[in-house]
Amino acid sequence: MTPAGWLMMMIFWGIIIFLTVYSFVLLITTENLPVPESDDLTREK
Amino acid sequence: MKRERWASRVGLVLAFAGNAVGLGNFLRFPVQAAKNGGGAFMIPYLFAFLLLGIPLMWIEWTIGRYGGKYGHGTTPGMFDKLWNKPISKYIGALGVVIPLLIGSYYLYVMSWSLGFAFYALKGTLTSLTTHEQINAFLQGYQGVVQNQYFHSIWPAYTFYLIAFLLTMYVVSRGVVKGIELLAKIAMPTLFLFAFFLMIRVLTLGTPDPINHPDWNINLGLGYLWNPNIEYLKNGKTWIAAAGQIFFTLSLGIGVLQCYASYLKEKEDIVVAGLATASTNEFAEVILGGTIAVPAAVAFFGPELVKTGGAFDLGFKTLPLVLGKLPYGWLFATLWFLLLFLAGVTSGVALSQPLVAFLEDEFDLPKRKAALIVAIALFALGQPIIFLFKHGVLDEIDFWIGTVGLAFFATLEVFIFNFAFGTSKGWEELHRGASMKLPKIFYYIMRYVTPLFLTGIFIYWLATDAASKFVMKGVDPADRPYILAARIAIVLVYAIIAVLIHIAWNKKHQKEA
Repeated sequence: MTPAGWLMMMIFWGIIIFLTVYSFVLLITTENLPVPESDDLTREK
Repeated sequence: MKRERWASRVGLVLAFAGNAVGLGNFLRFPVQAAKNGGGAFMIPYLFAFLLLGIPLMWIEWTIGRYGGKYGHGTTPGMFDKLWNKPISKYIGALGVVIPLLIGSYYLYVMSWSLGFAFYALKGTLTSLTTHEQINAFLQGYQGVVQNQYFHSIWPAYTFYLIAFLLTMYVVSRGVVKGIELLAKIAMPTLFLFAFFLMIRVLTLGTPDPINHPDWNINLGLGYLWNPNIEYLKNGKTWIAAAGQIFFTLSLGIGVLQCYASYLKEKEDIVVAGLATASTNEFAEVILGGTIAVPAAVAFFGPELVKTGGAFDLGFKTLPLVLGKLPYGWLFATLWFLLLFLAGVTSGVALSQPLVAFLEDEFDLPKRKAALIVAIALFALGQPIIFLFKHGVLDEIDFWIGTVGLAFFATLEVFIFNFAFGTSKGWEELHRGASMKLPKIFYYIMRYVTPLFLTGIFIYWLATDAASKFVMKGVDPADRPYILAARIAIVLVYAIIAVLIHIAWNKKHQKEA
C-alpha cells in the first residue's frame, strides 16, 4: 500500500471511529430519565 | 389500540443498525470501492454520505416518528398526514410493497449463507479447491443444475424454511421482544465474528512467497485504499458512490419509517440517526473493507477481484481463500454465520412494514398480522425459488430493489420538503434533540438531496431500464417468466392499494 493509501485509510477510519464513539457517548449520556411505566412500552393511538 | 415502543436507546440503535447492516456491507462495498478508484472512491462516498445519505435518513426517521404519533406505522398513513391529498397514501403504498417484494427473495438469498455455514462446518465447502468446483457446488445448491454435489434443490429449500421460520418467529414476537431482542444478540455477535475474521486476514502475510511473493495483505489493502485520482473525473464513480450510500443505509424502502414509528415522541432522532449511520459505516468501511477483498487479493491476486462481482467474492472466492488456511472450516463457518446474522436482522426489518400496516390500519392483533405476512412472503417466495434459473429474482431485484427505491425516495423527499414543508420538518426533526444540526443541513435537505436523488433515479432509468424493459439479451424461453414477474409486481401493488382504499373507507365510516 502506498503512503497515500495509508493516509486515506487512516483518515476514513479516524472519522468513522470518532463519529461512532461520539454518537454513542452522546446517546447514552443524554438518555432521558425513566418514563412512567405505563408510558414506557406502549402508546395510545 | 396501543402501539409498542422501543424499550431502550441502545436497543433501538442496534435494531436500526441491524436493518442497515446487511450482505452489502461485507460484499458490495469493498468491490465497489476497489473497482472505482480505491481510496479515491471514498471522496464521492463521503460527499454522498453528507449530501444524500444522512439527510435522507433523518428525513425518513422524522416522517416515521411523526406518523407514529398518529398511530401509523407505514408510509400510506404517514404520507396522508404529511400531505392531505387522496393520492398521497397510494404513493405511500410503495413503502409497503417494496419491503414485501424485496423480503420475498431476500429471505431466500439470506438462507444461502445459513446453508453455506452448515456445509463449511461439515468441511464440504472448504474441501473444494478450484473455482470450477465451487461454481458447480453453488449452481447445484441453487438448483440450476444437478451434479455430484446436489441432486435437487431440497437442501437449499430446507435452509430457506429454517431461515424463513426464524424470521417469522421474531416478527411475531413484536418490536421489543422480537426485533429489539434479536438485534441485541445478533449485532454484538456479528461484530465479534467480524473482528475475529479481520484480525485473521490482517495477519495473513504473504500466503505463497515462492510463486507469488508480491501477493500479500499489504497489496490487498492497497488495492482497496490506494487512491487513483483519475477516477474522480468519471461521473460513474460518483453515481456508484451515491448508489452504495443509498443501499447501505437502507433508504427508500419503507423500513426506517416503520421502525421510527415506534420511537417515543421526544426521542433524540438526530443523535440516534447519527449513531445508526456510524455503526453501519463502521461495519462497512472498517470491517467489510478489511475482510473479503484484501484476503482475496493476497491469495488470488488483484485480477480476480477486478473481474468478479460482489456475490462471487463472498460465496465463491472467499470459501476458497479460507479453505487454504489452517482451521479453514472454522473461519468459513464464521464468515457465513456473519453474513446470516447480517441477513436475518435485515430480513426481519423487511417483514415488519406489512405487519405494522395490518396492525395499524386494520386493527389486527400482532400474531394474526404476522401470520398473514408469513403467508404472503411464503407465497411470493415460491416462484422466486423454483423459477430462479429463469431470472425471476434478478428481474424483481432490478425493478423493485434498485429503480423502485430511488423512485420512492425521490417522491418522498418532494412530499417532505414541498408538501409538508422543510421548516416544519426541521422543527419536527429537532423535537427532543440534544444537539442542533448546522443550518446548512436545512438547505441540503431542501435543495441538494432532492436534486441528487432525482439525478440518480434518472441515471439508473436512462442507463439500464430501457434495455431491461425490452428484455435485451434475455433467452426467449425465459421471457414468459420475466413477464409474469412484472405482472406479479403490478398485482402486489394493486392489492395493497385496494387494502388502503378499504382501510380509509372504514375510517371515514367510523368518523361519520
